[in-house]
Amino acid sequence: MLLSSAQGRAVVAVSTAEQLGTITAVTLAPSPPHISAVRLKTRGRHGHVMAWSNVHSFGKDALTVRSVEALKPENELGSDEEAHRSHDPLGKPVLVETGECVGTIEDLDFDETDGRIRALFTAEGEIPGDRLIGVGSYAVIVQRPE
Amino acid sequence: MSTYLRAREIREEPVVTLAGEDIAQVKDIVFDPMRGTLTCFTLSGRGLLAGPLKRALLWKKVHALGPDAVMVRDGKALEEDDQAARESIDAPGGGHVIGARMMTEDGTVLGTITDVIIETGKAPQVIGYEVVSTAQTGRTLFLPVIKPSSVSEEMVVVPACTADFSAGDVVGLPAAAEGLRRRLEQET
Repeated sequence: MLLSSAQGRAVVAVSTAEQLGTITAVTLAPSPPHISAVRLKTRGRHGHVMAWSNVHSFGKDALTVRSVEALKPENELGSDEEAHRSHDPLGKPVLVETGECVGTIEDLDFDETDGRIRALFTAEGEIPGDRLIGVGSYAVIVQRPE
Repeated sequence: MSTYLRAREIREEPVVTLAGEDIAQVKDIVFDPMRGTLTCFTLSGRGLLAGPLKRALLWKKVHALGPDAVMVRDGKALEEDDQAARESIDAPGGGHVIGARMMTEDGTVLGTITDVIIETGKAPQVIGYEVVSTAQTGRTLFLPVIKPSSVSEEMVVVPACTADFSAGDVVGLPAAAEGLRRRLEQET
């Protein structure tokens, strides 16, 4: 699934049947490259984040989650945590590990069953997901193509 | 494929970890002019108001040097202080070649060095200098340097045949360097 098509989708708690918010973005973690957390727009000024492990199902109309408790206010997260917004790849430059910039992340394709990253998209083209090494506050780092 | 960069272009490049964090910015490049190898980088902090960072980045801790960033494995790559950088700068001929004159062994001044050209990649090498020519006033030349005869703060003395292998731009420099390498092999 493309992140751009998942953005704006409702997030619903299975346990309470409440709509908690909508998907705005994701954070990524390497080895193997996967979505570590989903960022949500919720009521109030600050958004919330939720670890991928709490995802119940990625449905056609909504993302269902196991429990409401798993949502954490975004501003309470330390920068060393996987779900911190510094690991959000959108809009960041892509650096090959050799120090060469190859574009800016515009979208990504992921497996909605396990959160695995299939591909990263820049204006210049597609980068296979398994080349991802890291996402930090400055850039997205990828391996050199074989 | 190798890329060729001017030292000027590497200055102000960010130092980025493989986790994607920018931890410093290149202030200057310290290299060994006799061997043509990079020794270390001096650094400044990131951001508009950041001053110099008193920590050096040794070449052996660099993951790769590219046209857009200097890559390091993690924050531990930086030295605790800038002792190493100061030592290499103070070593004979370790300081500044920019502004020095380039002269051949037979006593002809080729020009004044304005920049250093570095071949990037896993083992970067200084392959030549950008020189403002003395003979053709104001013209910028690119001269390959493989084995300088001697280096001081004022002068870099090179084999006489270097003058035969100048290039008009950075792109032409690798071919000029290859030509010079062959000539030097023939002469020895």
